[in-house]
Amino acid sequence: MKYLKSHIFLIIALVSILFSIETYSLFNKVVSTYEEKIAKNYTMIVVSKVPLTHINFSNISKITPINIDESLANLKKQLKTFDITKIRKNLPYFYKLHFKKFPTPYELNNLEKTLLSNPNIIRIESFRSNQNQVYNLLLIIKLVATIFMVIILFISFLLIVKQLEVWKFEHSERMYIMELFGAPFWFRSAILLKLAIIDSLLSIAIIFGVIEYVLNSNMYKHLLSQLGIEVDVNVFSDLLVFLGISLSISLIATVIVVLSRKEVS
Amino acid sequence: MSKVVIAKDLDLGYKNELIIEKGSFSLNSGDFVFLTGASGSGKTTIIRSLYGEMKPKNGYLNIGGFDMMKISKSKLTYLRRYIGIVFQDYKLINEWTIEKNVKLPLMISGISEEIQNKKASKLLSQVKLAHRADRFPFELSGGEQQRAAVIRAIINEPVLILADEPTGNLDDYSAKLVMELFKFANELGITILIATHHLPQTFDIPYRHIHIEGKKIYEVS
Repeated sequence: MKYLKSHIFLIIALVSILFSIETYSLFNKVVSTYEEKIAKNYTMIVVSKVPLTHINFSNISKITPINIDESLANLKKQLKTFDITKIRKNLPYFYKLHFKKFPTPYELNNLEKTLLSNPNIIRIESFRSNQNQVYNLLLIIKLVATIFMVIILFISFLLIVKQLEVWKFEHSERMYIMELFGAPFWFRSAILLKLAIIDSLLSIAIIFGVIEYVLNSNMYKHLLSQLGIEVDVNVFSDLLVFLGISLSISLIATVIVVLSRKEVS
Repeated sequence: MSKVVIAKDLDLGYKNELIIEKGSFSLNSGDFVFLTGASGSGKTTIIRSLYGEMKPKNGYLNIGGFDMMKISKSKLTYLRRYIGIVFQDYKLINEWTIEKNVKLPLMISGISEEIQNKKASKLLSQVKLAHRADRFPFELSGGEQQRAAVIRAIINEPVLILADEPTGNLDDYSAKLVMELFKFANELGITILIATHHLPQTFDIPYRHIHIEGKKIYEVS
C-alpha cells in the first residue's frame, strides 16, 4: 500500500501516456487502412482527344482506358440507325486515373490544373465534392486523435512533476546521507532506478491488458466490420516500443530527482 | 606525524556574513581534538567545511592532500569515503535496519558482503547492539541510534572522523558509551574531531582542545 501511494502518480502518468500513444497509433492505422481502401475505389475520369499513356503526377498508380464498346452496343440496340463505326471514329478517348493513396484536395487541385493545361484533354471529372467530404472526415478523426494525445500527454506531464516532488521529499534525506559517505551517483540512485523499472513494467502490464481488452471487444470489431477493413495490430512489437518509452520517462524522472538535490552550498 | 587537515587564514560564512575569520589550525594523524565554542560560534560551520558541504570563502584548506578550494565533485565523493561523520541527530536511514545502516560505508566502498557482515556483527556486539541489528532506527533509543551512527563512521576505518555535537541529545550513560567508541576509534589510529559545547569532565586519553571565540580559532591545549 505504501509503495502504491508513493508511485501511483507515475504509474497513472505512464499508463495514460502509453494509452494515448496506442490510441493515436490505432486511429492512424484505422484511418490509413480506410484511406487505402477508398483510394482503391476512387478514380478520376479524363476525356482526351489523343491516347494517353502517361501523366506526370507521382500519386497516380495507373491509367486504364474505359471500354465504351458495351455502351455503344446498348445504343445500337435502342437506335437501329446508329452507325457505331462512324461514331467511334469521332469519339474521344476515355480514361480512369487510379491513385496510390487517397489524394488530398490540394493534390486534386494541382492535378486538375496540370490536366487542363493540356490542350488535348477535353474534360475531367474528379467527383470532388464527395472526395472532399470523405477526406475532411478523415482529417477531423486524425485531429481529434492528436488533440486527445496532446491533452493526455500534458496531464501526464503534470502527474510526473507531482511524482517528482513526492520522490524528492521521500528520498532526499537518504540520498544526502549516502552522499555524505561518498556514495557515487549510481549508488544513490539505485533504489529509485529499481522502483522506476518496476513502475515501467507495471504500467506496461496494465496497458497490455487494456489493449488486449479493446482489440478483442465487440465494439472495436463491429466498428472495423462497419468500415469494411482489417487492421493488423502487433501488440508485442508495440509493447517493446512502450517499454522503451516508459523506461526512458521513469529513468529521466529518477535522474532529475537525484541531480536536483542541492549538494555543495 | 602527517597532517590530515591543514587550514590557513580560513574565512567561512554564509552569503555576506563571516562566521570564521582568518582561522588557522591543523590536525595530525591520530589526533583526538575537541572543538568548543558557544552556540552559533561556528563549530558546525567548520565541520561542514571539513566534509566539503561548504566551500571556504577565502584561505587555504587541505584535507588528506586535497585542496578543498579547488576540489572537483568526483574527488570530493572519493575523499568522503575516508571521512566518517557523526551528527547530533544521528542521520540514520529510517527505511534501513540498523545493520544495513552500519554497513553503508562498506557497501559504498564495494567490500564483499561476507566482510561487511563480519565487521558489522563484531562492532555491533562490541557496543551491545547485536540484538538490535534487525531493528529500524525509529525502534531504538537516542543513545542506541547514536552508537549505531558512530559504528557507521568507524566501520571502514577512515582517516578522519568528524562529530558534530555527538552527545548533545544523550543522557550521561549513553554519552559515556559514545565517547568510549570515539576513544576506541582513536586507538585504531583514526583522527577524531568532536565539536561540543563543553569538554568532558573526565577523559583519560591525551587530547587537543581548539576553541572558537569572536570568529577566531584558538589552540587552547
